[in-house]
Amino acid sequence: MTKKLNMTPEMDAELDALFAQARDEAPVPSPDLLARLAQDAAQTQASFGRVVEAPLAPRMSWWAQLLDDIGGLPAMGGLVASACVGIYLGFVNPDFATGLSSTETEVTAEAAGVMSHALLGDLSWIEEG
Amino acid sequence: MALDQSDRLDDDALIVLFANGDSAAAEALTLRLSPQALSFARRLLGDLAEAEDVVQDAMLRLWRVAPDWRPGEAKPATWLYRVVNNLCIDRLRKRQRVNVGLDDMAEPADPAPSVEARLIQTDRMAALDAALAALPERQRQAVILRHIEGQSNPEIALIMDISVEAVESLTARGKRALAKLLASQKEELSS
Repeated sequence: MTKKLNMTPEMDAELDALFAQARDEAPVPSPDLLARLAQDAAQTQASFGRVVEAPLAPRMSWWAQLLDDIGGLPAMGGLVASACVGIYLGFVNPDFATGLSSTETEVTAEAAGVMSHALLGDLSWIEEG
Repeated sequence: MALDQSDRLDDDALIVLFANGDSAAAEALTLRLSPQALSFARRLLGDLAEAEDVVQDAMLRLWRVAPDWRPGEAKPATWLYRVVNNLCIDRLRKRQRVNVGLDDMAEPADPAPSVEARLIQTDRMAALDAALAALPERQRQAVILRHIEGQSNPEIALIMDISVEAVESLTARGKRALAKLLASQKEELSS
């Protein structure tokens, strides 16, 4: 069975004297520690507000810029191929293009005629009725 | 800002100045806050070199948090004590010392009423350090903060993240345990 200690005024005073002595003998930061703290502070402060700049885009010539704007080399290849086909159809085999146009026109006219007859028939039936 | 002007500024204002690039504010804060942080860490760890490392780590955290500091929310000194406290606890636990808390120890049967007057100053401090080191972790923190660092109970509650009532209990039990330990040391010396 243990006995609980009652703090006497003498013990209290003795402890207070020890605490006071501990306060008086508190360590003081050494010059080395103060230098380390100052260095950390300066380095941290230097990093405040530092903006990381985006790298500048390299300057381009006008034709390179144009090529880039239309989609680069793949787009340019498609453009050249289309131009070649157009030249071929226009100068080497013009009848092909003309024949195709007339055939399409006839088909369109026939379809329009059918529609016209049908419509006219309906209309004439309505008028007769 | 000149260093002598910093005396008129509180810690909050100095942190704001530091965040705005004022180098003199860093020096003023260092001179104002580092001694008490070092004293606390030294008492908790019982090792000056280790305490200096803890203070450097804690102050570095203060510098880094400066741009986001909200004046009026927490006192910088209290904030720093709290960081030092946590860093010291981490270090103490890493040491993996097997400490038997006084809470689990049998109390001395017949403690002496006072500490021997013939102990010289150095021995007295060594005895105090040894007794503090034997206290349970929380009691040791509370006793050092209250009786050596001179912090108020509400401030200690903030530092240790406990209630004021818990602080009062810890400091009372800690002081009583300290008296028992010192009395035991005195008995050993006199026997």
